[in-house]
Amino acid sequence: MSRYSERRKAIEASLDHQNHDGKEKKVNSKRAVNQHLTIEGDKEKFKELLRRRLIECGWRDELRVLCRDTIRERGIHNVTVDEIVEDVTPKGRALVPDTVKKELLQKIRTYLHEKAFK
Amino acid sequence: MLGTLATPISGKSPSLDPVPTLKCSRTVNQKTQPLPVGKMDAEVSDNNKKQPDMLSSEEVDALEGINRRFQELMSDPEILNEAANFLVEDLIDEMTIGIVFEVHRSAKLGVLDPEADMSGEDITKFKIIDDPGLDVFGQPPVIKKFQDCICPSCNRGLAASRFAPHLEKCMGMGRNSSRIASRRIANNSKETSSAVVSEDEDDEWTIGGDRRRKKRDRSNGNAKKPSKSLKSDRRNGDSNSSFGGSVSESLGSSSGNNASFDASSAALEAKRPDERRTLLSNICGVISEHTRKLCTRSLRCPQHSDEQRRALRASVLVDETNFQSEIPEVQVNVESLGLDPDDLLSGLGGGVGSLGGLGMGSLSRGSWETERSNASSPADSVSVSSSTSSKKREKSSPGKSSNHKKKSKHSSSHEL
Repeated sequence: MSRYSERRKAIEASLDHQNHDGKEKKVNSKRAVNQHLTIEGDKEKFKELLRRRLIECGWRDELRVLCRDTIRERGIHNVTVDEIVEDVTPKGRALVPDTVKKELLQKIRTYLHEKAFK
Repeated sequence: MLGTLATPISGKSPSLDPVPTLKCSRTVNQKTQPLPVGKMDAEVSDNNKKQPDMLSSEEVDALEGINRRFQELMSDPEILNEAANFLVEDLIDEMTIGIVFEVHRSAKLGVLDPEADMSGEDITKFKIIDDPGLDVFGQPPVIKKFQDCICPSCNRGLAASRFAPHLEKCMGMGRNSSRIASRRIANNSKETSSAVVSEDEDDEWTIGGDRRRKKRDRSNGNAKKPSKSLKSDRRNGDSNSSFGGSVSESLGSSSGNNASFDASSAALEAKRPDERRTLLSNICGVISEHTRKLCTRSLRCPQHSDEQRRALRASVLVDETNFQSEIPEVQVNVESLGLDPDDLLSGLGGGVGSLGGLGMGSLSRGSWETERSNASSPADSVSVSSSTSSKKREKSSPGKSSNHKKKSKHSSSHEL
């Protein structure tokens, strides 16, 4: 259900962006890639792989502690999800082990390559 | 979901030239706005989508456009790398957001706190220590201390293992000391009761007591010590000269028992006849061998037989009514018992001469007493002497005991 809704959103977005083709190409490329992955359903696969890797290396627990610290700092009653995301995202990115990042990058690259030259 | 998505798209798209109106979900299309679906299959076939029939023709066009653009972009390796990096970061961010939502939710629900307290450096405090020789808290094992108890009675410190035996001695608790205590109580009551009995010495119920004791003698056989009234005690004192030393000793001890026995009978005797009757109608009343007291249980008391109860009542209640009928009975007893010492003398010979003399002496005294007063109990005294002497004879000469047994049987039958 969610997967199909995602796909549909991506399609919808693509339909929107086809009208603004004159815009910056990089943004478009990113979007296009994202859309493509989403539509093909391969994004889910990568996500699942990443989730497993991050659980294995304990990144999730580290991030949880970070979230907790943020919540404790700001007080549980005046903190929003956006604030936490703002706080935690840069730290979380830095905390992802290089091996995991590299593996994922490699896999995506080969995947895109295959798709591009099939 | 699909239906909800369809509306904004279709609302937006008319303003956009190249994109035709989207008719979204197949179910909706088929039911409400039927569209030509047959064309779609041909278009989608080269796209090899998993579920091509989910999309309308316009959507399929859009997909083709995406795919085309994607392949264009991916042909450039720089863009490909960039896209890959972007994808990785995007995925990581998604994971982050997932976790943030999770933690935020549990924090708002209050589930987080106990977990949060255990995080950080606090956790090292509660870490389980796994070193040999230490317990899980990292403490070395301590040698067991011996618990000291302080006696509440004498305030002395004692090892716990010695506390119970000490209490037994110190406070008079426990098995042995309870026995000692009961003995002490019995002694006290003996003293007081003997005083009571001496007051009641001339009471008319002394005979009744004697009779009761006689019956007890009969029912218990010779297992118990002979019981005598105070009057017979006094006579014993008189007749000690004729008795052997050992016999007088045994009589002395038996007189001690008599005193305690008399306590109960005296308690009964101290009452008026009607009181006594009401008392006996309520309780068992049989005089116990051990405590020498009236049994205070119900009439159906299992410890004593009906026969015992009947015997006691007969003795007590008959005494008060037929006082006069006592006299001939006693005399008969005396006479019948009087025969026994003769038998003994003839059967046993010189070895028991003194005992025979004893019997004769007491007999003569008994007969004298019966002649003199009604209240005396010579028969009792004779039975006492004969039973003691028979005991001695059994010890000294078992060969001759048959004769004596015959005699004791004889006497008991006479007592009946």
